[in-house]
Amino acid sequence: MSGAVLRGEGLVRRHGDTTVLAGLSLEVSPGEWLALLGPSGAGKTTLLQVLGLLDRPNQGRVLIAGEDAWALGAAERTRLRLEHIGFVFQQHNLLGHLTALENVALPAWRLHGASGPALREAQALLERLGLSPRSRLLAGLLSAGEAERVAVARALVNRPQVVLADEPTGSLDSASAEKVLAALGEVHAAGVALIMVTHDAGVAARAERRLLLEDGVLKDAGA
Amino acid sequence: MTVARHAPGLLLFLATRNLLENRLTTALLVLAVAAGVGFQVPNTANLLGYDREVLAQGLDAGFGDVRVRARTGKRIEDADAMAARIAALPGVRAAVPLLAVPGAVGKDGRFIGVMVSGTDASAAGRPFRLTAGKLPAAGDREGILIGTALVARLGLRLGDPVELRLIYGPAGAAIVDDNVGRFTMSLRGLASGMFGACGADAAFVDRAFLGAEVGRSGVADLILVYSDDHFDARALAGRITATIPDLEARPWMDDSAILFSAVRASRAVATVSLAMVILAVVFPVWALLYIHVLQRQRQVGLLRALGIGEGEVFVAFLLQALLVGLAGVTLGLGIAAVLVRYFEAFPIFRSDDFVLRPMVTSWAFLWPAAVVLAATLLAGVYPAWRAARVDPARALRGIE
Repeated sequence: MSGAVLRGEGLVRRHGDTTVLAGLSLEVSPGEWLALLGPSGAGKTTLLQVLGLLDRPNQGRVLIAGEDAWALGAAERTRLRLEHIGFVFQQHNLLGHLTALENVALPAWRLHGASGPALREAQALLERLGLSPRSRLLAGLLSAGEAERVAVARALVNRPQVVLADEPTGSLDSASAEKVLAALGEVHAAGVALIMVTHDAGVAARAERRLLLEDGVLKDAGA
Repeated sequence: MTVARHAPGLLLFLATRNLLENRLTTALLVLAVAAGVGFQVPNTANLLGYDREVLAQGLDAGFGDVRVRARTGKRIEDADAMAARIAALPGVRAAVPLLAVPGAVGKDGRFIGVMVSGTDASAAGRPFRLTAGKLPAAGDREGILIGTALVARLGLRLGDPVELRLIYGPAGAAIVDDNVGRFTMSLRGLASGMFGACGADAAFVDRAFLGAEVGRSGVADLILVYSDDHFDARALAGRITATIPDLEARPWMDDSAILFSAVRASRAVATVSLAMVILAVVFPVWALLYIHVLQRQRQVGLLRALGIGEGEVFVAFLLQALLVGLAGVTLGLGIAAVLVRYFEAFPIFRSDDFVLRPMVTSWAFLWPAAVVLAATLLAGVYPAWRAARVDPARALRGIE
């Protein structure tokens, strides 16, 4: 499909003797919300890392904006990641010694090469997500829910075409999880494709498409 | 949208914030570098001061940079004319004829054997330091200058009468009344000097007087050649020999082995000391930065995931070493300045006329600072490389 923002073809990833991804293929359309389900250890995080160009597959291709990412050099892959992909990691993974604002601004600062526009963009995003009063706080002092929303803001700051979210609500209470999902809803509403790993059927139900990763291959998880 | 080729401000920001994140480690790193500079700068200044004083005593107030003798082993005839020809050569500050006669000086019948040297009061160089009084003037047949050590042993004071004996015969000849000159001189001044100079334990009289007494007016045993560039002495000796082939010119390095060894020893000490400082800085900085990287693998993985390239991670971590180095060197230079002032006020070695004071030059400060800074940067290379090699996928999953 030529309109896909992200496409994985025949992806194989082995960790030692274990085959985690067994030649699976995946295509994500612009603005699509896709939930990725599967038992623990099925390889969901590995799949996200391969699609997010953090982990090189043993076989197969990842095409982002039509470019075969793993055929490019490291600098070009970094460029693709900066321009097209946003990450929301398991356990938010903020830099605890930077403020919330600095955490959000960091990818934009790298993209533009200047701090001014990056900080303005980051401030605007934090305002949109209701985090403006917390923007000057060190990330290590934020609550888990706030930190996860800051991570969502950081994923969006470079206006990516696709956001990869790895169990963004996994460690949150229901109220905080709801706020994060609302933030991700905004991502989706803005036309950004979203691939979200989750164990929560309720969270998965919000997605437009649900896939189950089992035995290294993807299956339709149905409604 | 195009990606900026570089974001140096971001890398500097990350380096600074990383260092501030762990203030204790950073403080220890800065202190290690500061200690290296704070030690090595006064050490270098003292060793340079030692070299300066040794060369000043041994050459400027000693037998000069090049010592010229007749190839025949006899005295140099027409020494003044020879000295004038040598003085006209490039690089020569002064060429001073010196006539030496064995003898003794004494008081109240107690004599001590010395080499009595004849020098010219008007000469631009002399093989001793005048520490009190004045030189015997040209034609002064009664004035004598005696080394401070000898003066102390004989209990002399300026203006005191001094008994002088000169032995005129050839070496090995019996000392009999016929070849001994007897004079009563007046102590005009005190001379001092060490490291090959002849001041502290010697006597000096007017060369014209001494020449007349040995019956060979205008002769000299040696022509002492003084230069401002001590380490050009070998080339200067070559120029002198080429100009006057009848004369043998020996640079101080060959003529005064102990002096040359003293200078070489101080340079060896400086090199060893600098090497030890480098090791003392490199190992703690390397170890602390390496631990710093190991503790931040997840952070590095995250930076890589957020679009910071491998090379940029390397630069960001190397910048930490540079910042530590700059802060440590700045602090170390401050400590060094205080210590150098202290050693100027309280020299680490003082003996008679030989006082070891630090030599305060930009080299004494900047060379150790530059070496320690470079060593700090070098120590940061491997940890920075290790950071750049962190696999983001493994780091983010907590495997590394």
